[in-house]
Amino acid sequence: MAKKNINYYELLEIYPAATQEEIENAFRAALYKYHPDHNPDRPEWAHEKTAEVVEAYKVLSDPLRRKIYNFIIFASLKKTTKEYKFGIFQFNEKKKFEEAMQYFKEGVELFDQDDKAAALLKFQQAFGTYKFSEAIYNVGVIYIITNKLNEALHAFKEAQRLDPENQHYVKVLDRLQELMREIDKARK
Amino acid sequence: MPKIIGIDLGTTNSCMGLIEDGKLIIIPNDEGFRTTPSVVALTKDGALLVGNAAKRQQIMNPENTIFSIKRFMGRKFTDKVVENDLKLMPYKIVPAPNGDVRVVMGGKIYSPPEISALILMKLKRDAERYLNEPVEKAVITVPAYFNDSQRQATKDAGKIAGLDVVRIINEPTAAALASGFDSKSKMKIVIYDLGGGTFDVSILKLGQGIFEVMSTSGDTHLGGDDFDQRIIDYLIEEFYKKEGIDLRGDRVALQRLKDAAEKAKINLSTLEAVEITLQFIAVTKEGPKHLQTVLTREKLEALTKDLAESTAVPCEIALRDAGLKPSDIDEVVLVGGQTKMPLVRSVVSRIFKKTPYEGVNPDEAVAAGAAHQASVLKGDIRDILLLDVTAFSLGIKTEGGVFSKIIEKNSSIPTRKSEIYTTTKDNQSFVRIEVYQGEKPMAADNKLIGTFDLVGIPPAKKGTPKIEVMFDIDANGIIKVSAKDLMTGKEQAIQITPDSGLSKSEVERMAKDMTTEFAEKLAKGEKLKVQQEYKQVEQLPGDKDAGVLGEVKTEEQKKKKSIFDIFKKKEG
Ligand SMILES: Nc1ncnc2c1ncn2[C@@H]1O[C@H](COP(=O)(O)OP(=O)(O)O)[C@@H](O)[C@H]1O
Ligand SMILES: [Mg+2]
Repeated sequence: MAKKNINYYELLEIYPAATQEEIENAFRAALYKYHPDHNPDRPEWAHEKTAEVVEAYKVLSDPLRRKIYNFIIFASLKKTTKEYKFGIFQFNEKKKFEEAMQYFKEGVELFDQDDKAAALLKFQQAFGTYKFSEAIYNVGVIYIITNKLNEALHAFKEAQRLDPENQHYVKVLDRLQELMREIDKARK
Repeated sequence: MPKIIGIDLGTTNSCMGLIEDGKLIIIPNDEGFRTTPSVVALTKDGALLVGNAAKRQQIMNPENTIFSIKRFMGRKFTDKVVENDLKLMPYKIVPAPNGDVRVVMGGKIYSPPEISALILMKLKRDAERYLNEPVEKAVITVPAYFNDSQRQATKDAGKIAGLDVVRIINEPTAAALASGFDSKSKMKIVIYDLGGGTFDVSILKLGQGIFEVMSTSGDTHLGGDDFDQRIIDYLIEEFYKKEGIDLRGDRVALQRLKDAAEKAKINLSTLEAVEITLQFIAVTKEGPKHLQTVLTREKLEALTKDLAESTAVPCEIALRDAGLKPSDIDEVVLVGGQTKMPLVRSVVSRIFKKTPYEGVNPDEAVAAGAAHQASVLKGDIRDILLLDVTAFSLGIKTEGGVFSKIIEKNSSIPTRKSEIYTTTKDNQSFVRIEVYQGEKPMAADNKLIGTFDLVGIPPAKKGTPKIEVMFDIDANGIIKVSAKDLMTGKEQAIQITPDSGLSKSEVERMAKDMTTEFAEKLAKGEKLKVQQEYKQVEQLPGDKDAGVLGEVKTEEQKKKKSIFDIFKKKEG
């Protein structure tokens, strides 16, 4: 996961609820602003910015990718002063938070390299302080990020089974199932 | 402000355009023609000819007349395509020390960028003469299918010719820019470009002044030359049947056949039948033999039907890649000389279920588009923007020789993707990355672009260094690789060994040669050309243009004066 966490909505200067048409218009406006052809005096900057804009458009203009992206970005955006939060990570102590985050990131990297066993170990360490249901839920989130939706579904179901009271799990499960139905439709 | 001209550096013909005061000018060459044959020749007495003058003496001097050099730009001698061409070309082709193609002209070895540079230099000079001021900058077009090495070679050609190539754009994109569609309205168009050597098809989305390529496909080895070859083969076969003589071994005969075949083909785009006469094509004990035959459009279509129809597959791929059906397409634009053939037009109409757009000149559209882009880069046009895509996936070789894609085919450019690398051994000081371009699952089946060594990695336990490698494809479609040490945040040293191409110093040396040695030879050529113009080129005895037999123009005339029927009767 080498990707910087760029907020594509900010980059394109649109609201997260933007319609497809608004996204398209914003994309074109951003291109005019950043494209190397219109910025001959700073080609490096223009290249980098345009590459980002192009990527943003690629993700946001595809409803499926946009959903997955939303899932990630909104999980990572919640930040309060008292607590340290990153999506499902929630600590009152900065050091612990950073430690867990480190494990988490390493886990994602290992996961991306397909080293699942090592990745799981990292996840266990990252989620160690949490309830089992939460750990499983977190693994589900990782699966979503890495686009392994079937595995994610399995993990979320398990989390819900372990903690049936948690409304968040119900919602997430619903959203995922909806997402998967759309994928199926798109495939057909 | 200095002018930037647009150049369509074609396989067969080149063309120049310029936008001045908002108006398009196609810059004619010094003979007044709007296109210039991409042909370079060295005469027996050391005169260098480029363009029409070179083409005119081709028959007399086939070994030293280089044409279709674009086919060899950025290519390896061992490429399959080159292997096929080797047999077709009357000039010598040899491998360079690094495996690239070289051609031989007048006993000397030249790189394809040098030959292209000679064409560019002629164009540059002609433009300077026409505009009456120095021309130093140009936008040059390449087929969408050109990979990194081919684009790089094109840039080198510009440098050697003393031109600053401010941008390389894809030919189909250029054609779209030139089509003059209201860029404010939203539409999807197809650019179908069948030239002398390549076939490109692209689908573009237009809207709010942005030309966005949705997909591109094509065939790097399909064009008018293949149509000519069909006629040549047919003529050879007929001649063999009649006279028992095989012309295949005779280079001069082949060159004359090629000339006659192309002329006949071009005439058959407007006529129903032409006569082909090649006197003294062979000599036997009984005396000289002549080739004399009539070719009808019907016969030509029968000979080349499969070629025209084979363009359907790339079209379907382009549609599929763009996620579109033929009915989603608003306009189909025809580009390239070969699209003037009625058969090609009808095949296109069938593929896309639409009559092609008539608003562009197939010979000039690409140069016109390059001129538009030049104007955008100059800042004169602000309401147009071109967003090209890569025609190949870019990736690296991973364990077991597997090709791991980093940038997918049809990604908009400019684009950047990064990957993190680490070491697999303790204190490992370098990591090697092999970069490939292509779509095959195994790296070895794709085109090696270059090898990149991350060097000077500080000693550390295996797996701890984190080096971010950035793969950039710029707006020219040219790849750049750079690396950053994530631990220190410093630029990571990188050694690049490109798999092909000229080195910087080679390019510099060639550029210098161009201003000294070549200038002299060119001056000689200029003199010769003037002579050529006064005195008709010596032609082989009795060699005629593919004669016009029946000028059947209108449908009405066709019915009345049906020359066509006479042939049918003769045959039957
Ligand atoms: N009127 C015509 N009818 C059919 N083919 C033509 C006609 N005019 C040119 N051509 C063919 O078009 C090809 C050259 O097309 P062009 O677009 O100039 O090529 P390139 O892009 O390869 O430089 C040649 O094969 C030539 O014979
Ligand atoms: Mg062309």
